[in-house]
Amino acid sequence: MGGTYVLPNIYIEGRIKLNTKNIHQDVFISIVIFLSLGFLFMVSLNIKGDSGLFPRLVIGGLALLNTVLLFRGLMKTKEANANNREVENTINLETIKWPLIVLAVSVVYVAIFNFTNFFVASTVFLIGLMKLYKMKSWKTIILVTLAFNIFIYLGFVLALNVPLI
Amino acid sequence: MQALEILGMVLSLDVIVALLIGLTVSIIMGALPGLSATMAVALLIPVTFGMNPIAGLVMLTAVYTGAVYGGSITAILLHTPGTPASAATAIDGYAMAQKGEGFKAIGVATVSSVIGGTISALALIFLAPPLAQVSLKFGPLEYFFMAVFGLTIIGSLAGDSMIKGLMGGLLGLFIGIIGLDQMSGIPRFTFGILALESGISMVPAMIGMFSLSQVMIMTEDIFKGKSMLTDDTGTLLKGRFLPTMKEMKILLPTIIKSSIIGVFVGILPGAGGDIGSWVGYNEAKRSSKNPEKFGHGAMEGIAAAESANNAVTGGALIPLLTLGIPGSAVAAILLGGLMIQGLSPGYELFSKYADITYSVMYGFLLANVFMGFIGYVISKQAVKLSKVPMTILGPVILGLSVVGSYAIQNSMFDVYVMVFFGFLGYFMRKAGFGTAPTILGVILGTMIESNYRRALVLSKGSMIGYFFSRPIAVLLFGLVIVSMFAPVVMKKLQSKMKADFDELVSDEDRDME
Repeated sequence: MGGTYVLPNIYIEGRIKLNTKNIHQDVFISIVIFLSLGFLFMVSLNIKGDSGLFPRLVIGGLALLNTVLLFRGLMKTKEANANNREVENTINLETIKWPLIVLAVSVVYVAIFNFTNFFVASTVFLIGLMKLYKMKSWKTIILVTLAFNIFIYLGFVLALNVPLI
Repeated sequence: MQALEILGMVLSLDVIVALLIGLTVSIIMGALPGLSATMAVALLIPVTFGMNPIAGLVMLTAVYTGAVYGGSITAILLHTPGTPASAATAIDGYAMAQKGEGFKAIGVATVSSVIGGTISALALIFLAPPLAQVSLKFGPLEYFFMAVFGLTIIGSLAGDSMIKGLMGGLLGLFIGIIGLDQMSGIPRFTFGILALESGISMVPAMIGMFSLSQVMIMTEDIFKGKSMLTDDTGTLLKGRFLPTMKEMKILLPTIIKSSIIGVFVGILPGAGGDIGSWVGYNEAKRSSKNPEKFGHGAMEGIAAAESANNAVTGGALIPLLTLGIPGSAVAAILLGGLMIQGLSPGYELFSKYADITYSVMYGFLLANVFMGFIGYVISKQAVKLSKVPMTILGPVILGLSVVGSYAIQNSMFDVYVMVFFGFLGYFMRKAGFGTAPTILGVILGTMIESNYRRALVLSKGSMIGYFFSRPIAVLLFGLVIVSMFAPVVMKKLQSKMKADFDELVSDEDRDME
């Protein structure tokens, strides 16, 4: 390779194809960060006077470090491919699927809280999430939900006067 | 400020109740593997918002020390450190538990934690006020370097990659920029959203980053078929709890020495309870008459690690209260709790707000003493709680995160902030960025920018001349440089200690064969 970087590839049915599945996640992360930084830099140009200076310095610092991150990601990719080894990415659809579903459930929880009240939302959420986690015992589910609601009512509504209803 | 007056404030009913609740909750949370002291403090900050400042802050400091101690319970009985600070405790603690002396091991850990924490509280009471006097001599340039000095602890919070840690810190600085510019009033990165003009609310952001992201990580485990925090069945708690007087005589020198080490490590930026416990443990082993017993259930090993990690807590509070430098991730979050009460670190804390500050310090002292009694009462229950399935813990933590974020300002926007930062925190953790540097960046970002700009104005165009005319600024600049290299030295020291220990154990194993 003579010191030059060659994109990882595999040979399939007589054609050379880019092996996009064997690229280290840092490369993708770095690209996303560069795009975000580009957008934020454009926004920072509209900030008047000295107020825009510090944000641009921070964006510049991030861009500099991100360049190192991209370079390291490419090196890790190159190393893995040179050794015919699969890159171990901690972020993959298989792993993040359920956490993202839980996050979506949390968003629904917040939405219900916004339109009804905390206790209605929490009851729906706790039962829903425990069922999503495949909890079988209805007795436990109901007890946990009740205990949680009572604890919050006593602690936050009565003791701290938080308007949750 | 009269001592009796302070005592009266500390011993008031609301402070004592807050202290006891804080200790109980934190010991249980500390005992649950995966739920750290950082998360415990972040989740409880909203609860303290509605309380009087003394009760609220005493509760938070109690949570800090309680969670560090709580981590030892599961470390001893289940070989699963509840917090990273208890990793060294697990070595000899679990060995004792296997011999059927688990309860006694917890007893040694409890006594050592109480003494270590008490010594650190005394160090806080006696060292913090004179240090606060120094802060009177500080101008914008000194505060700028002080904030930069605080940022250098990122090196030790960064995890595996320094680059990612620094990026996390800069991201934090950027998040701190969002909102109205404090000096000109110009909105920055608010995108027309009115709620963003006052900036990103720090506590909901912390709750999201530490709690929601943790539940998302738990979810991965749940769907991999691991629904319990620990699979170990544990060792029965039986026998004597407290060490005998004879044993105490042997342990006391180790406890005192490790406590002093812990206080010193705590004062250093970035060196938290985990480093403190390893340094204390290694020193105890090095100076012990029976180093071969370490790793096989030596009470001295537990005593050294536990007194040191609890001594770190008071040590970390010294630079936090006097100079505004958080010595660890937990201390950074505690700074958030301080600011929520409208208090800023520095001389004012020890003059204008002396009644609050001294009461909090004495409250912290009291918390360390009470920790022993509460630890004794709930250690058995805490172990049972570690068997609560994650399928219950996850939803409950999420519910608490939502109510906690909302309760600070009764604002739904804060709940959105929490969810967004949970999402961000999850991916940052998955990608190896860590979330602690970001939180630190958020806290110190505003301090860095505003003081730098003020210093620029004061320098009247000659920054270098201005810099050299201020000796404290030059000294702080030197400290920044030293602190940047400190994490590398600390990590090498820590790995050397672990390597020495592994070598010792393998040598002994060979001898036994």
